[in-house]
Amino acid sequence: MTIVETVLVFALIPLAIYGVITLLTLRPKATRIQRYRPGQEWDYAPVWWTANPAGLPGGAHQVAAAPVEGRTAKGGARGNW
Amino acid sequence: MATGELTRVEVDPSTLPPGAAVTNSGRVSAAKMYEPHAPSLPFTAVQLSTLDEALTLASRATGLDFSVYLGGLGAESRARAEELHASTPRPTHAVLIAASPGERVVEVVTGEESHRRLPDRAAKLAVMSMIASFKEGDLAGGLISGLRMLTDQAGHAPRQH
Repeated sequence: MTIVETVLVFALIPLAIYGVITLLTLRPKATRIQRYRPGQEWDYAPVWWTANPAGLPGGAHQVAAAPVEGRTAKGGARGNW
Repeated sequence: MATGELTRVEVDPSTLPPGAAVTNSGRVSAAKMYEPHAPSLPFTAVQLSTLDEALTLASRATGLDFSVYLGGLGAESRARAEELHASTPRPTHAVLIAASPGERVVEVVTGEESHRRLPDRAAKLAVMSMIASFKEGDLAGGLISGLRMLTDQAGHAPRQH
């Protein structure tokens, strides 16, 4: 085994493997979910979730009451972070 | 031309866009590039399904209408949250959790019946629990733990019969 072969096998091949793994970690993640950090902007469209009607005792056909006039809120709480 | 006979429209293959080809039957088959779209909310599918389950279980166990609003509330956050509460189908039984991550504010609004079941003290406790998670950046976890606390505080739905 010449000195060139030794360098190729024991230095170049490991370096190539390291290189491939480095590139794998740097590949773009288009579908990655950006985690929310406190204080960052919230550019998403507003969402309003309710319970799945199929999982409620009344079934999927809930009887909608007539809309109430005026202020309906009786209490609650608020907080900042 | 007989009934059921297929018509063939001659298509010049040179005029087709890239990715389209004329198949043996004469139909034009077009391939489209797959474009992964960014998620519309910073939640994983598991977090969303846990939230859905928590909402449904909370509403089923307590008989109250729980809902979670996530979005901007404006400068008058309380007034906006009360507006949203009034627009629910059954405001007397509605419990609205409105969180605005942009303004870093969360509001819990209860109606007539839901306020009887969930005193302000219970709502405040749930808000404090939610805020502890929101401060760490865990929006879904905070909403779920808040929902569970409100469910425990409200107790079971009274028997109808």
